[in-house]
Amino acid sequence: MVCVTSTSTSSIIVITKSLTILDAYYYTGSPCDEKEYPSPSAQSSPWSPFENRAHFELAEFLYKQNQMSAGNIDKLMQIWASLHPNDGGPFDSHNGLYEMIDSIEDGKVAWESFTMNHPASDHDHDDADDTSDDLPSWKRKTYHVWFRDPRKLLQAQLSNPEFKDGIDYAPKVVYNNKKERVWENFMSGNWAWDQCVSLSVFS
Amino acid sequence: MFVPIILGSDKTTVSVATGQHDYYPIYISNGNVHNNVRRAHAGAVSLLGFLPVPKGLYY
Repeated sequence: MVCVTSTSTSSIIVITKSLTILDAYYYTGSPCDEKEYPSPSAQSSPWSPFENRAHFELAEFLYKQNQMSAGNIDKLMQIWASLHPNDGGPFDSHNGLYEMIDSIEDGKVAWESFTMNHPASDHDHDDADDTSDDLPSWKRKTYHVWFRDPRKLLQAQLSNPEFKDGIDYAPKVVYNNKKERVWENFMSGNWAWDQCVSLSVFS
Repeated sequence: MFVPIILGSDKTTVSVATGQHDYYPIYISNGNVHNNVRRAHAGAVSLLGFLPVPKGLYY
């Protein structure tokens, strides 16, 4: 099976050759800054919020595996700091360790809410005694809408490492050995391709 | 990166404990995750919000 993404320069005819100009920066799914230019620094460390792998492994060892007491963590960090007076220990105390663990992003997004009224109900407030008009009760009520930030929800979905083997970062066109188009998943469809690929590059 | 947004709702309404309001749940997913993954993992579809259903409109 041949699989061509819109960023590929491989043999799939003129289309992709033209497109390398168009989407060298775009739609590759690679790290970029807010203007979508490539930026290695935009990629956060996979060990974030820990400084590096060793910091993470130390935290995991102390907290999860060894379940060391707070007092002993403090003592270990003091000894560690005196071994390396210039650098200090990896954590300043058991509090520093706990705060670091708590700051791990777990993909949870907070709920928010707002209230809304039917526009007709606004006029009602001017005259509190006027309950006899023919506004139905549902127009008088205040409604609560609960929601979570959609952008953060999508970020949490896309950053979930469980999906690493089942995700497309760019639209793609898939052919089988008989050179027939293969349709599977959202990003292999024409709609996704058309959103990212403008025919104006051919003119 | 191109992220198609998929929104969905459900005819099932959700009642809060007071019973005063019914809500329609709204779900959000993305077009990047493969279909088999979306079906198998709860994390690929998120509960985006609850839309209140005005009572009395139907009763």
